[in-house]
Order: sequence, then C-alpha cells, then structure tokens
Amino acid sequence: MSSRRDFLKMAATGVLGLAVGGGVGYYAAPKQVGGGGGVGKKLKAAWIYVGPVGDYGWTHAHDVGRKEAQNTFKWLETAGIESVKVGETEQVINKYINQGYDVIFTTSFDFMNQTYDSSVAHPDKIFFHCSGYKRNKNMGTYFADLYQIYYLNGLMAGALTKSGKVGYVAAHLIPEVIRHINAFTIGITEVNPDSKVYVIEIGEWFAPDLAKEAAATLVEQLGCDVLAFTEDTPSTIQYAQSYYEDNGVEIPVFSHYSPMYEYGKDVVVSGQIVRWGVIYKDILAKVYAGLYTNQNLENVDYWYLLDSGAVDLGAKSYDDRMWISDKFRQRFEGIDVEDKLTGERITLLELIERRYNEMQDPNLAFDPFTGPLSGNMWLDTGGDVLGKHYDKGDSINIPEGVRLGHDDLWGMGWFLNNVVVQK
Amino acid sequence: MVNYLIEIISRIIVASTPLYIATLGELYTERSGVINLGVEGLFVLGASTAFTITILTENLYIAMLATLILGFIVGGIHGFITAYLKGREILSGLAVTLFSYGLASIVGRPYVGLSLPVRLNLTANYHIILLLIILSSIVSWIILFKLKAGVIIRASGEDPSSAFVMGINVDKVRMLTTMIGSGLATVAGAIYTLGYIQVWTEGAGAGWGWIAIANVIVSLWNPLLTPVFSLLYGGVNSMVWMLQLPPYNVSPYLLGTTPYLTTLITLLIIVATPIRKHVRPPSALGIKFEREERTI
Amino acid sequence: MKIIIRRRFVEPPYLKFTLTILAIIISLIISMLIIYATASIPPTKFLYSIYSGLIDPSTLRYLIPLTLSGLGLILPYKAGVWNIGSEGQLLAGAIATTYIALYILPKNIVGYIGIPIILIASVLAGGGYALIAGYLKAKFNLNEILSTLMLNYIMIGLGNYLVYGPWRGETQYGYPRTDIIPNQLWINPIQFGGINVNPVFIPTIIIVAAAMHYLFKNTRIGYEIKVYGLNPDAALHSGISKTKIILVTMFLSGALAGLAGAAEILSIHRQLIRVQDVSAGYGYMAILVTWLSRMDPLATILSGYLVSALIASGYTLQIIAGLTIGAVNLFVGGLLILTTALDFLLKYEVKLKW
Repeated sequence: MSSRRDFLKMAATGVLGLAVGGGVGYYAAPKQVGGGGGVGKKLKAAWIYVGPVGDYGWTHAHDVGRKEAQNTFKWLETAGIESVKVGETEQVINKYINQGYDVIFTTSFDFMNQTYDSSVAHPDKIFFHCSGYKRNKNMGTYFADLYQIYYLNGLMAGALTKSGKVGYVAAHLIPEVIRHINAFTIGITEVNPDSKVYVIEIGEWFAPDLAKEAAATLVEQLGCDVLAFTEDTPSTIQYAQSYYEDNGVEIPVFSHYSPMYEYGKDVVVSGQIVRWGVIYKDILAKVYAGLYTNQNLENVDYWYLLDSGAVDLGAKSYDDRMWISDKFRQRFEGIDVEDKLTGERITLLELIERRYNEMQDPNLAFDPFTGPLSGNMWLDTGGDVLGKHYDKGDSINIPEGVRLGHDDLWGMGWFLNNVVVQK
Repeated sequence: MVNYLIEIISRIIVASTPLYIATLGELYTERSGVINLGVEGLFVLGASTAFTITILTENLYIAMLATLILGFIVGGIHGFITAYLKGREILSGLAVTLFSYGLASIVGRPYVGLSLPVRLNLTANYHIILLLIILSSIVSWIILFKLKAGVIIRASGEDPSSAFVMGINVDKVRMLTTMIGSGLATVAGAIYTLGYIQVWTEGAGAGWGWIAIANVIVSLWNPLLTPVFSLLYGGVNSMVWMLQLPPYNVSPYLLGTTPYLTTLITLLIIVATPIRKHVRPPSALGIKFEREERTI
Repeated sequence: MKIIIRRRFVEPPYLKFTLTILAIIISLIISMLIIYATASIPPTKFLYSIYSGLIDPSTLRYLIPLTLSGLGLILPYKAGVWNIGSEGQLLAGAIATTYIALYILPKNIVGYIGIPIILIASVLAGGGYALIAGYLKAKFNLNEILSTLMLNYIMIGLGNYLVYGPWRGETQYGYPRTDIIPNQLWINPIQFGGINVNPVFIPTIIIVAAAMHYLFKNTRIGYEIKVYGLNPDAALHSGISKTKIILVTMFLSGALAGLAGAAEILSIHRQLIRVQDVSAGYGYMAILVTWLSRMDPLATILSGYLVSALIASGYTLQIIAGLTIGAVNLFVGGLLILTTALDFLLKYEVKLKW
C-alpha cells in the first residue's frame, strides 16, 4: 500500500486517521487476471499461515513448498505471514491485496469462511484454500492426503508391537485425523490382527507439552510400545528418544509431516512426508499460463495422493522415496507375512514395497479402505458412509471388496473396531 | 509394578519442579508485602531465553545463569515501581508479564522448533530432585522464621511502618525479594524448557505463573507446604489423560480445565471452610508503604 | 544536593495527559532499540508499521471487542476490584449468542427481534459469569485476580467441549464448529464515508462511553464506586455496601465483555469455533485499554483505537520486517510499565534542593 495513495484518500474522505486502503478492492470491476502475462510480467503470491513457520509440522511444510515454488519460477514473487488468527484473516488478506498480490493461499481449514468472503470481496484476485470445501469462481481448494502413508506405517507398527497396543497422539479428532487413525489401524491389523490402537486427543495442533504428556500416558500407563501422532511438533519423537536413552527401552515412532528423523535417530522407523511444492508449482504455473483465472476455479479441487508425488513415506528429508530407517529395514526383511490379496508368503519389506507400488498406480491397484471393514459411528452428529446415514454408535460394516469413495473418506466420522478412543 | 510406580512418580516430580521453584520465589516476594503478577511472564521469558542460550552456547549452566540475571533485571523493574515509585503493583505486574511475553517471543523466534544440543535430565535424577525440593523448602522455612533475614522480610510484609522505625529499609527489602522471586521464576521457566518439554515454541510455559501465584495462597504462605500442592498439581496434570479413554470417557476439553478447577476449588476450600482461621496473609500484602515526605 | 519527594494534594490538570504522551514516546524508543538490538530491524520499519496501523480501516475491527470490554473494566478498576476475567466473560457471551441463535430462536425469526434477544442473553451470560468471581470475593474474600484468571481457562475448556462435542455442526463435515447462525441474525458492516462501520456496535460503544461518563459525574452509584476505590474502609464506615459495589461492578464489566463476545460471533465468525480462535486475547488487551485511558470512559475510545492500531500494525510489521505480534506485546507492555512508573510524578512532586 503506497502511503501517497493513502494520504490522498484520507484527504478526500476527510475522516481523520482513517484511510480506505481496505475498501479499494470493493470498487474495482471484476477483470480477468492470470493469463496474458507473457514475458516479463511478475506474478505475486502470498501465503497465510495458521502457525509459526518453525513449528516443524504443518506450517513448516507449507513454507518449504512456497520456497520451492519461489526457487523454481523466475517470474514468481512470494511472501508468507505466520501465526495469523482466525478472526483477523480478512484484514491480513486485505493487506496483501493492497500490496498488489494476485494469488492468495490460505493454509488452514479454519480460514475457510474468511477466504470465501475475501474471494467475494475481491473478485479480481485468485484464492486457493487448503483443506476446505467452499469454492468460488475465483477460489479453488487443494489438499494432499496421508492416509495411504499411514497405512504403510501401520504395516510396520503392527510388526513392531509386542504388547499388541499401539499409541496414537491426536491433535484433534476431525475427519482428516480419524481417516489417518483408521488407515494406520488397517495396516496394523493386517499383520497383527488382535492389536489395538489407543488414541489420546490433546486438543491443540501445536502443543509440545501436551503431546509429551499424552505420549507418556500411552507408554507408561497404557502399555503401548509403538507410537504415531498427528501434531505439529516433534515432541512425541523426542519423548521416545529420551525414553530410549533413559531406560534403554525402544519405543518405535513414526515421524509426521516434516522429516523429523534427527529428533530420534534410535527410535524413528519411518513417517509421512508432504511436498506441498508439487501442488503449489502446478497451481502457479497454470495461473501464469492463463489456465486458471478468476472465472474458472469453481470446480478446481486438488486431492493429491501417493501417485502425485505430493506425499511420500519417509522421515529423513523431503527427497525421501519410500524411506525406512536402516535399523528397522533390516528387521522387516526378516519378518514373514502373508499378502492377504494373493495369499503369498513374503517378507514384510516386500509387502510394504508391493503396497507402495500398487498405490503409486494411478488406477489404484490397492486402497486400504476396502472392505471388509467394521466399526462404529463416532461423531455426535452421525454421518454418511456409502450414501447411507448412520447415527452415533451405529455399527458400520463395509462388505468385502467394496471401496470407500472420496466423500466417504473426506467426511469420515467413524472408527474401526480395533481403535480404543473416547466415546 | 515397581517400575511402573517409579515411572509415574518421576513423571510427577519432573512436571512439578518448575512450578515449585516459581512458587517458592513468589512466596519470598509476598512475605515482604509485594504481589508480583509478573511471575507469569517471567516464567515464559525464562523458558525462551534458556532455550535460545542453550542452542547458542550448548551449555546448560551458562543458560541458567543468564536466565537468572535476566530475571533479576526484568523483575527488578516491577520491584522498583512497587517499592520505590509506589506504583500500582497489579498493573505493573501485568505490564511486566506482557513485556516479557513480547521479549520471549522475539528472543526465541529464530530458533523455534530446533532440537536442544544438551538437555537437563530430570527424569533420571528424580530422587535427587525430590530431595532438593524438600531440603529447599525446609531451608526456606528456617530462613523466614528462624533467621534475622526472615524477620526483616516478614516485618516489611506485616508492619512496614514499625519496621521502618526499627531501622529496616522496607523499600530495599521489597526490591530485593521481588528480584529474588523474579529470578526464581525465570529459572523455573528455564527448567521447564530444558528439563521438561525440551523444545521451545511460541507461548511455551504460559499459564504456569498464574498457578504459581495461586499456589502461594494455597500453601498458606508457608514454604513447608509449597511442595505439597506443587506435586499434587503436577500429579493431576500428568494423570488426567487416562480419563478420556473408555471406561471413563470424559471429554479431553473438560479434562483440560482440571488444573484450573483444582486450583479454584482448593482456594475456595481454604477461604470458605474453617481452614480460613489459619490463613493469614502478610498483613501489608499489596499495601504500599508510603511516607508523606522523603529526602534522598 | 538533595532530592525532596513530597506527596501532592492537588494534581496538576495537564500532567496526566503529558505523562501518557511521554510514556508513549519513551516506550516507543525503548522498543525500537530492543528490536533493533535483538532482531536488527531498523526503527523506521517499526514506526511505519505503527503509522499504517493508525490509518488502517481494519483497525475498527479490533476496536469493538477491545473498547467494549475496556469500558466495562473501568467500573471494577475504579472500585479497586481487579477483574482479569474479561476473556472468559467475552467467551461466555459468545457461547450464549450461539446457543440462543442456533437452539432457542426459531430459524425464521426476523433480525430486529432476534438480535436484541441475543444481545440481552450475551449481556446476562457475561455478567453472570463475572458474578461468580464477584460473589466469591464479596462472600469469602476470595482473591478475584486468581478466580477470574482460573475462570477464563475454565470457560475455554467448556466452550471447546461444546464445539467438539454436543454442538459440533450437522453441516460442517465433522469439523469442530457449530452450524452457521441464520443469515438474518448477522450484523454486517455498512459503508460509511468509504469505511466499513459496524452499525450496531460502534454506536453502542459511543453510547456506553457517554453513559459511563454520566454515571461517574452525576450518579450516586458512580460516586460510591469512586469512594470505595479510593478508601474501602472509609467507604464502609460511611455506609457504602461492599457487596453491592463488588457485585454491581463485576456484573456490568462482565456484561460489556459478554456483548463484545456477541459482536465477535454476529459480525465476524457467524458460528462458534474453537474458542481460542473466537477471541484473540482481546479480553486481556482490554485491561491495557482501560489503564491507558486512566479509567476515563471517553478517553477509553481513544486508547482502544491506539491498541487496536497496534494490533493491526503487528501484521504489517511481519509483512515488512518479519516480526510477529511479540514486538507489539513488547511495546504495549513497556508502555504500561512506563505509565505505571510515571504515575509517581502524579502523586508526588520531586524537587531538587541545592
């Protein structure tokens, strides 16, 4: 926002101390942006983050993606703002728009309504919202989902647990996390059918102290001997590593979102990696080329899985492809399991590789959410599965061979029977 | 079974130690007649600076020492305003808290999420820590009730005018106890990050200072009682997690309020039952010691 | 040379204002120095951010919760009752607003009937929540600073329990947020001289400030509050009821915070979300607003605007200099420290004698 323009506006309105920078967008007639850029035109994109870039989880991963896009495209100029509060999102978006930014990425589900309102107020700008379901002609949505990776982690966890109890530290029990827990459980029970997954919800995305207490409860009070988590700090891993150093007891753990191997070299087995750069580069290149404009985003919804390269198995770096810590890889080579699809006896490592490759196939030769599966509706409000409504507590049975669709996964509100979770 | 108990006991002790230290500090401050609401911010500031300095120097002792000194300085601002300038101590304390929140965020920000190069291993030494907690509470009791230093501190908090007549420099005593309390609050914050959570994030340690201030009342301003509620609080904080799972099924969001509910109910029990007859805060607590005219 | 410090009996009229300005300037300089020393951000960027906050129309968005709660706090603070619980009382108002809008009122109720009902409910909820701490103080002399603080955290837990549990919305795809309240109950900003102005809450702030100014100038209860605050013992001897003062001031301050909660829901969020996200600490910032105005109702609007501008500048600061709200906290905290310290000069006169 140029101070000269503000000064003129201020003088014009005659209201002391109040300028109208934020109102400018409202008067601008909708015009087509994107496209026609040609040589020399710069595209400016801004990212609105919900947490600190240093969280080493969600926001950190998005920022890595932003930088990757920035380094790839010479015509791109980017900026990011962290720790934006939900009720203040629109004000922050306006600040960027006043600075001439063309594309705004908002990277929290909580920003959905504010992003939508901004897209209405600024029809000449382009918005992309991560993880939501509201779209507009100038607002698309995108998401990279980890459920297949959690399933692969589950195969490993199932082989590693001796007590048959696996602990899961969950930030919030929302559909995304419920889906991850279920996928993880499907993997575990495939190699270890009687195992249980104990879930503790901590109520924060970003709370190292709570995650640590929850992990300690799972291990020390409930007897879990493998851990996984959905929370934005490496706390759970640090807990397992200290536990190993203090007591000599190994609690294998799976890294989440960003590569967290360094925090627990003795205990990290593998984990989930997200490369948001894949999605950001795709979106921005299309905006620059004029394929995405402020008129045609109504149906643009990215749902990127393992085959897209946006997510992967790993914990060491963003370049990991099916990475498993050497220490555990060797163990998996010595474990004999049955491929339940073919009935063959193979090693666990072979099974993991086989499933990984099957899910890489764009036609999805394999998907973890395939019947038979059974569980109970958990959400107070109930929910739909395969087009049928279930109330809280109703039992759900997915028949053999039936695969859940996008909507079933997207709004998943039920837990499998082997999950031990608050009612 | 024995292992299981030891694990739980050590966990409770580790969780309680920072709270105990901050409480003990504030107890000295309040015994001299000053309420320091800055303890909340100083705890957070200590958490952040100790983390940053440990990352930079890879030395826990330098970090703790620097944190202590920073506590003296920032807490000294509150001491100076209340003791010498006779300012409103509630506001001054809140201001110090806000200022410290801000400083903590600026100091820690470049290092957020980094891994500590060295950590303070409290879990392995829980028995030594328990011993230190008990010893320090006994020593504090002796200082406050058996030694001359304690008489001076308590006189400033009970009857500053008489203390002044007896030749005690009330302003100076209050300034010093506030600095001691503040230094202990920052060190408590340091132990919280270095020994307990072992990472730092924006806002790490927030809320503990308030509990420490409440804990002084719950301990009836008696250092011998401070370990009791600290350990009880640490215990509740560590043990409630179980209750969200079957068969208990208590909402984790309601469980999250137990620390505060416990504190509120304990305070209420103290003021609303016959126990209150034994509660006697320092008579001049929160009351400014002013004279009409002074020359320096 | 001697320094003589003597208590003032008459306060020079211009001094309060001068000292506040002085405090602002000094704390600005100190914050700039600290930020320059720790983060190498040039002072010009800091100053530009604050300037841009002052002229940013979005500042009005923060003004509403800050000034409403801040005005409320004048009452207990004048009486020496330290209500630190605006945050919890604001949330109580927000929760009541959502409850009435979603579960009590018929879905097709018209706005001009529904909105007043909601506002009354939010006032009662905020005031009622504050009364818990007020009652405990009046009856058992339980320290209100601690009780209101604890009650803040308890209300956060309660609100999140509702959002994650029984109130999770039917139309929210399982996400922890209530359904959206009916359209006609929203209070949208209107364009006024090119600026977006909230048509209900901005006028409310002006009316409340004027009413409170009148209360302290011309009414018995206003007088009693002031006397009680200056000297509780003397007030009790002259027949002023301690219980009445505590309960009235706590209720009214909670009521206004509750109204701020209604404003956040009706004008900003339109549904109840995770309650930490409903209010971004406005209840705590309100304490500063009140104190910076030195508990003057009309000046509270100005100090509310200043603190709002500082919040707005926090984001600008991040955009242009990479600093977060921490820098603003540092500045506001420093400002409050200096105001409290400089109060000394209001109460005492300092003379040098050779």
